[in-house]
Amino acid sequence: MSAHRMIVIGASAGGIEALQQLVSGLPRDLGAAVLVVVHTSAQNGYLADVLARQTPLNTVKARHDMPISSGRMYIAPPDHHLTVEDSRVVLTRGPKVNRHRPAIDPLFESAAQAYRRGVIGVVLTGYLDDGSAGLAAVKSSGGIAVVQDPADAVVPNMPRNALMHVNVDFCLPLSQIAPLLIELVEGKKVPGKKRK
Amino acid sequence: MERRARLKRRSGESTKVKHQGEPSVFTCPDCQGTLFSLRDGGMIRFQCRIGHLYSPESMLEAQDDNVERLMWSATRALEEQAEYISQMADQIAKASDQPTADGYAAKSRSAMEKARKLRLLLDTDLTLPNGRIARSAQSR
Repeated sequence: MSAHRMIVIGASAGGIEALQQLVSGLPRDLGAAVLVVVHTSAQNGYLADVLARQTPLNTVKARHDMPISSGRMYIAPPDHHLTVEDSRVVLTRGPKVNRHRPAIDPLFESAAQAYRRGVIGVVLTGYLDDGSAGLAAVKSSGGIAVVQDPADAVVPNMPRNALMHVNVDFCLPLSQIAPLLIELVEGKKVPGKKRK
Repeated sequence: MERRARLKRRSGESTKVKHQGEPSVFTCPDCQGTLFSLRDGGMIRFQCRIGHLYSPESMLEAQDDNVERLMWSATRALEEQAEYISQMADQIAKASDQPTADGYAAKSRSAMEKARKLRLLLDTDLTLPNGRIARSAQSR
């Protein structure tokens, strides 16, 4: 059993399609909790339903104060920041971050604060640079930073910015990210000393 | 019990992760509050008292939107003024004070001309093929 028990994923433009592919590769018995933020409009509350159809992983729309457990995926609801504290979901309607709510940085920063080296952060396709500061926080707390290869992303800016600001552990095409996450969680793979 | 109380309080709190920073010379594009600059590693971010937080690129985008909104506001103010002065000119012309009416009409045309120039500037900016993205691609 590895120490990596929390996976946080952030995506923006092109993110719903990317996530559908990614989560289809995650198993029902994944030994980690998965928390997901996608920039969407305040009206789109169907993301959890959409993703639940693509994965054997138990998938729910995150609710405030919900306990966080392994083998479950929690999707940020519209118009709320999704953060974690004491192994529980904390939803807030605080000020927008990077012009978004939910935003990726608050999830990543709170996960880094609460789970330290137990966190794997994943930044996928999107415009601008939400997730860069969050991924840096994950990294500096001893967690693992994963970025979708910009050349493989529908919109390369967000992964490219994360690469620019963070010394990431893995930069891979989408199709290789789910297998990597499984290996990291199972402890079959550890980040190398030398990173790209 | 203690945790519940904290979570409850937190849910009404403005921001999850509190940051500290130095006051900057910039104001928040969303609420006009003073922005504090935060340095995390190599990245400079901005946060206002309320808790609006901006990464480097989102700050730029927010400023773009703010500038556009204010230029439209100025355009609207000028067009409204042109309309109002023109109505005044009509009233005065009816009262047979043609020289004064002409003066007002000229002022109305001047306001309309300023508004036209602003619209031209806005249109020119907007016709760039997605200016924002083109610029961020160039800077790489």
